[in-house]
Amino acid sequence: MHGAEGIETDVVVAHVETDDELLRVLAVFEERWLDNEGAERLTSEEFYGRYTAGEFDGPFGVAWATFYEAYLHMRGRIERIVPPAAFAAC
Amino acid sequence: MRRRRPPQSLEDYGFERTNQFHHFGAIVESPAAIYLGDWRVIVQCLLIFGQQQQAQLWIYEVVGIENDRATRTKYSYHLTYDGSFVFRYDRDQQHPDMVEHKHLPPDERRVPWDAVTLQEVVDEVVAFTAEREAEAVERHDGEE
Repeated sequence: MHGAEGIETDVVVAHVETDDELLRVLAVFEERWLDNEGAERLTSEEFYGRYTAGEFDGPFGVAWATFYEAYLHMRGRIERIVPPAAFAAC
Repeated sequence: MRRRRPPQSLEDYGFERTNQFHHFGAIVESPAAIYLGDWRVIVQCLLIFGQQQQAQLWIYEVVGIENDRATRTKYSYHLTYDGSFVFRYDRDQQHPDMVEHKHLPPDERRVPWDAVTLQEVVDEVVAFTAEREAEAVERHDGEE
């Protein structure tokens, strides 16, 4: 595929399918944040709490939040299909 | 009777959008479609406008299926010109008090704004770039 000015621009297509893959992506965001801000280590959960309160209103925050929401979504789906502990003895 | 358009899938959206990037008359860099399972697709790209490639529009969209239609649940259209921030349109359904808004200089201050389409943003970028280039020509002519 080529851009309007003839520069080759292959479209990258990627699939993130598991919560393990999402956790690896989230770890990259956490490290990138620490590298850029230095003083403050944030877990993705801590970040997201502050993001939904209105902080981190920029492209980096939006991207980080997208992957954390995907993680929550995927984890929620997994929790729904795992039998409750009460059934373990049945 | 017109047939209803079939529901648009995330795959359709990712494919069509990344192709559409090539129809804006810009240099297209780093187009990507990242599928988060079957829940969302992230579509991102850098479009470069201007004779000196001075206008750079960073596109980031998060798309899900809502009511059988591909819907941008988040977007971020961020423009710089000669390396300086010009504007950013944001949409995020998780934003606590302003789902859609625009950031402007100075300090990327946030103002309420209606939802925008990518075509509207590109039209604004093209007009902005043409205006700035015309000003540069006038300045250059005035100096001679």
